[in-house]
Order: sequence, then C-alpha cells, then structure tokens
Amino acid sequence: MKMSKQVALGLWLPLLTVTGWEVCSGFGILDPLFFPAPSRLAASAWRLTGTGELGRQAGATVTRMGIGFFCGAVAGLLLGALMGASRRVGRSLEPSLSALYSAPKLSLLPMVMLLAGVGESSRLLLVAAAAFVLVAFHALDGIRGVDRSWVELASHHGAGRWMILRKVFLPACMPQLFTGLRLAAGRALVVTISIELINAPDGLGSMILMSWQTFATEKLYIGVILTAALGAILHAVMRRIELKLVPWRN
Amino acid sequence: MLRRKALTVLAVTAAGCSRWKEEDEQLIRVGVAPYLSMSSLHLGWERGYFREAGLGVDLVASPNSTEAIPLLAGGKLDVAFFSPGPALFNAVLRGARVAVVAGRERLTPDCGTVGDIYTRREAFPNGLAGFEQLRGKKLAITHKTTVSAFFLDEILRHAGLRTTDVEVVLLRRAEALAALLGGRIDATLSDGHFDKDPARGDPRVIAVKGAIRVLPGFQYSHIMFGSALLDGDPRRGTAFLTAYHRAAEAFQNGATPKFMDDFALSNNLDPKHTREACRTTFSPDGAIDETSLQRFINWSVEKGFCPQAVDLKRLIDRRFLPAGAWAGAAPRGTL
Repeated sequence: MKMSKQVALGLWLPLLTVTGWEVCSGFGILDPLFFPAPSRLAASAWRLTGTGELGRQAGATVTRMGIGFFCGAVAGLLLGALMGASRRVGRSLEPSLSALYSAPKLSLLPMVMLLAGVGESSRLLLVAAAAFVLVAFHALDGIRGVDRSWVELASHHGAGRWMILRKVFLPACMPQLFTGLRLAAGRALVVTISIELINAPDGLGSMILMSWQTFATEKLYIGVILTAALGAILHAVMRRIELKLVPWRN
Repeated sequence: MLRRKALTVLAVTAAGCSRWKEEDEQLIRVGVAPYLSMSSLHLGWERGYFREAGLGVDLVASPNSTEAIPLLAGGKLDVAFFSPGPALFNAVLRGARVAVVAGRERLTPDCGTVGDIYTRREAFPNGLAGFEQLRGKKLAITHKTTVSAFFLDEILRHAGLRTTDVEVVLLRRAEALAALLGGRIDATLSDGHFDKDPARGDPRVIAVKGAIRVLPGFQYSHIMFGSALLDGDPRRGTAFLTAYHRAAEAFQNGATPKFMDDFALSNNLDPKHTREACRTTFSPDGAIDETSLQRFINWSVEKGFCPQAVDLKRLIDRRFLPAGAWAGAAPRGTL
C-alpha cells in the first residue's frame, strides 16, 4: 500500500473526531469552557509555538524520555542476552524481573528519590526502569525462541560461535527484540509524562498539570494532543526503523 | 380487581420515583478533602443539621481544589471547601458560575500548621531563627500555584530574598516528607495540616512557624458555590451556610464528630490527641477577608498564572451569608 494511502487510512478517525468536535462546539452542544473548539486550540497552539513554549516543553519530554529509554534499553538488552545465554542466570533473575515488571514504577518514586536525589536523575532512573524490563524480557524471549536445529545446522556446516551469533541468533531474535523496543518506547513515554505530572519543572506532563492548576483548558488539550501525537510519531518511527533493519519480519 | 391492583402498584411506583427524583434534585453535593479541617462539616452532617434545615447533603470525596474547581464549574459539585487559587480566579474570569460565598480558615499564631516550615535538623543545627537562613537551601513545595508557593514567596520577600536565592523543588507531600527525612531537601512548606504525617514528632525534623510570621490572620480557605446554588433559590444556599455555621460553632465549642476518631484510627494517630487539637483556625461567622483574597489574586497575576486580576465583586457572592457575618474587613490587628 502506498504511503499516502496508509496515512489517509490512519487519519480518518482523528479527522472525524475533530470535525464532530468543531461542529458540536459551533452549535453550542459542548461547553467551550471545558471543550474549546479545535479551531481555538489550533490558534492557541500556534501562539504557544510562536513563543517557543510548546517546543521547549515537548523538547524536555523527548529528551527525558530519550535518555531514559536509551539507558534502559541498552541495559535491558545486555541483561536479556545474558539471561538467554546462561540458563542459570536466566532462572535466577527471571522472578525478580517479573516482579519489577508488575511493580507500578511511580510508587517507587519516594525510594528512588532517596537513592538518586530529587532532581533529574530519579526521573531518568524510573523511565529507564520502565524500558529496561520490557527490553530484557523480549531479548530473553527472542533468544529462547531461536530454533536449536538452525544452530546445529550452522555448526554442522563449520560456523564458529561468532558466525552463529551474527548469522543465526541476531536475525532470529531481531523481530522479537524490535517488538520489545517498540513497546518499551511507548511505555517510556507514558512513564515520562506520568512523572512530569507529579514532579518535574518542565515537560508536557508538567504543562498539562500547570494548565489544570490554572484552569487553562486550551493549553491542557494542546498538551494532551501533543502527547498523543508524540506517541503516534514514536510508534511510526520505530516501525520504519524496524522495516529497514528487519525486512524479513514482514 | 387484578387491573386495579396493577394500577395501584404502578401509581405507587410512579409516586416513589417522582419523590426520589425530587429528593435527588434537592441533594447538595459537597466536595470534601480527607483532612481534619473538614471536621466541622462532618459534625454538621453527623448531627443532622443539614437535614433539619431541609437539605439533603452528599459528601463527595475530592482530593484537592485543582480537581474540585472544574467539577464545581461544570455543575458536578454544588459546594467546595478549599483554598482559592489561580484555577478559581481563571474560571471566574472565563465566565464560570462559581463564587466564594464564605470564609473558613485563617492563619493563627497558636493553632494549625498551614504555612509552617519543616526543616531538617542537620541543615539548621541551631534552628531557623530568621528566614534569611533559607538562602541557598533546597526547599520543597507541592506546586507552583498552591498556597504554599504563595507563602514561600511572601516569606522570602519578607527576608529580603528572591525565589532564585533558594532551590525550589516540586514534590507531593509524601515525597517531600521522604526527601526531608532522607536528607535530600533541607525544608518543606506545609500547605495543609500535617495531621497525617509522622514528621511532627520526628527528632530529625524541626517545625518552625512560617507564613503566620509574615501574614498574620491571612485567610486561606473558603467555601465556594457552583451554579445550582448560585442561580437557584437563594434560601437553599443560606440554609446550607446557616447549618454549616451552626456546626462550625459547635465544633469550636468542643463538639467532636465521629469522623475525627475514624480519621485518627485510619491515619495511625492518637484519637485523644486528635480530639484535643486546637480549633481556632476556623471563622465560624463565615466572614470573607477581601484583603487576603486580593493579595493572593495579585500574586497569581504577578506570577503569570492569571492573565488579569479577577474583580472581587465577580468572585465573591455575599447573598448567602447568614446575618451577623462581617462585611469583609480583616479582623483588627491583622494584615
């Protein structure tokens, strides 16, 4: 399917929602105090972009999320690979990792703050933790899912350890790993926004909270829409990278 | 015979339904936070003062004013007991039917912990004798727009300091407490009663009177009405405030609601100690101190939280105050 067709197919629902919203606002069905018309939101967003505030807040969120995600993903990848390579390590760490996976990360904030301080480091640590667990699990599952007969076949044909890792394990693991990375990126964004809603001097979450605190409804919606758009863009970018690096998946 | 019976059942059901609907429409939904400062309201509810006034009252749990204001403006709440702030001022500026109808709590020298500064003993080994000692320290407040942020600015201004002279971090109360005890911050400013926190008795923490030293008598909590009471029969609003003020007076005179014991038990506090806590922060007559409100409004504009100052005439509605309440002046010797 052509790119333009794909985009059009993905946009019909948001466009329909926005149109319905605008019409309902125009006819006074929706209270503009709580549901300002999309055209008003667009005007406010334009103004906020002009003052640089929108870019500053979105930039803070993307930076926070990006650093946390990168650190968490690298650590998760290494641990997942280690757990997959050694059955003993895998068995000894899997229960702890499962516990960390189901633990609500934000409930750890007071403890993390005591360990890492009340500044940026504690926020990054929580974002990294959210990405870390998902990537580690998917890396582990990817390695475990490699068909042993492929390894034996490669070995039979004289492939060394490095060759087996490069030519068998990596290609076989990549689809699973990318699913993990994509999910982890989404989770990292959610945790970033959640932390910003609680404790951050800047970022989209902080902007949403501030708008709520000051009854600035337009700004609130702009923050929420921008966050959703960021999530969609992130997903699309990860898909593009995946298609480029793991074409055999599809 | 059977038809008559069926008709009777239908008529009774219909009457029941219409009565239920009537009562439901009369129900006044009051947003309350889970704090001891809500004791007087609970007293009135437990003793049936509102029922006696012909009012059905439903207490709706609402954690803070940030959530309560949109609910009030959207008609999902009819009454809210909270501190005013930029959310309320902006809602009124944008035409929402919300108004301050009575005053509730003030800063008093010998009662309450609102505006107090909780410092870490290690950071201030000789105590906090003067606010200028805060220079270079790390302080926590809950949010930039709350009354604690306003108090902090006033305290710093009083000491000849600026916000940039201290490091301000935004932390919720639980996190601020953990950070204070863990040595990650030097002080935190209370914007509510620290009645739930064990920090008061902790030897690592020193509680110092803060806002009261620079804003004596400042009124920080009010009662607000939404459109149902503002636009409905004014007698309902007056009846509500009269019943509430009856409860507030009884509370100040020592009457204790069961709520206080339940609160103490659920928060691991000593019920006797809780019952004996001071009660003089309340203004039982409901007087609204315009000077306090104006000061808070001016601060909200200065900080850029409000595009302009909201007119007090639009913000305050005195139609419902029971007779005998003050006309709005601050009590003598304050502010």
